Amino acid sequence: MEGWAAGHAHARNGATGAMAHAFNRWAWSQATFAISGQAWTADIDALAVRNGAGKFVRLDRTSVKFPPTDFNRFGSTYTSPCGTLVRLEIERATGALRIAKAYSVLACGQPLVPEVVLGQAQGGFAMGVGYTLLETLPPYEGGPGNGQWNLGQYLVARGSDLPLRDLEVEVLPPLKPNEGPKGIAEVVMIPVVPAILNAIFDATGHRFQSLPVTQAMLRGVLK
Amino acid sequence: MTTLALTINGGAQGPREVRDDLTMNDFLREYLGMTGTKFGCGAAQCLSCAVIVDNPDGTSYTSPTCIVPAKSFDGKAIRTVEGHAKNGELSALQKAFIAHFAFQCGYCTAGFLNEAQVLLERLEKTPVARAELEKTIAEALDGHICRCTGYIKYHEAVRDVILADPKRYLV
Repeated sequence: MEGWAAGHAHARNGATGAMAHAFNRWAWSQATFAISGQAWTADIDALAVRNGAGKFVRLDRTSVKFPPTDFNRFGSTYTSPCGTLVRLEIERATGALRIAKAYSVLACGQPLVPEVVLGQAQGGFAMGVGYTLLETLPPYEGGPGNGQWNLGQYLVARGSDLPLRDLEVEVLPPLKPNEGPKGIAEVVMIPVVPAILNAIFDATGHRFQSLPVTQAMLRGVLK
Repeated sequence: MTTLALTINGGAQGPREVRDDLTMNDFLREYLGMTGTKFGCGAAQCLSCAVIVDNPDGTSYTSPTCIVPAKSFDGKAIRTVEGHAKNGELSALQKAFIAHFAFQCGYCTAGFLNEAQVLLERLEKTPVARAELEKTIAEALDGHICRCTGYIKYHEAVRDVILADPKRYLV
């Protein structure tokens, strides 16, 4: 249709289609193509372009780079490393535990929506607290399999279980300027669990072997 | 059957006949199509289903709707998440929730919004000291369960609304 970019491209015999091939082995293949007299480098290794109603024509490529075959031996460049520190207080007489302060750090490349990355990190912290101190799903007759459980038995972290004003989240800047975004999913919850358990060990001298670590269990080792 | 008449977001509903065992949540969602109020645990433990109940004396409180019969709301005035925006403009609290990315999946949001709105209105009548603010917000919102963003952004959003107008909410 007149006025639309696609209409103009067809009318002027401009680019109306492109096909690319890419290869990944924990890094992308890379090549440079000449497009309208300009060199364009991208994370693809083949490119074909169609002009107007013509056929697709494969463009010549230069500076082709493929990731080394050694990369088959590992598979972790797209994960987002993260870590957590916590400071907690345990009341000797009752075993009541309070997380006084926490710090989570992660490297996720270039965040696409930083606010959501922060939300995931904060929500992951809450879930980690739940796994460590609250949530349990025991097997057999008395467990949730009996169909009678709800949030009264399956305790999840509430606001009062968290350091609402003292959870710091640091998102490290990308290592390389062209480092793309990397998924974080719920990875930010994982280091929370050992961080709390290590802090409990530091405070009580006891290593707990099962989760959740309840107030009664803490009281038991403090006596 | 029971005859039910109440006020929802300032508008009269009923009188209409409802089953005695009809929950308020089903009445809102299934009979009136007001799906802003969510159904979560079905046991009044997550509070995603909470609505605001306005007392005749001008005070308000939140109530779960999932295990409460519709007939217990007969003659009462309630507000739901659909009633916060006025003339197409979101409330200060709603704007703050958005500005803070306070929610992700949104399931708990209506409950948090209603609870925080009740808190704001309570603080207008009985302001607290600045030093008490964090504790006041934390206690007000504590029963509501969020599984996405870990509560912090909700608290920050409510705090922002209060601190943007401290003479209104703080002593």
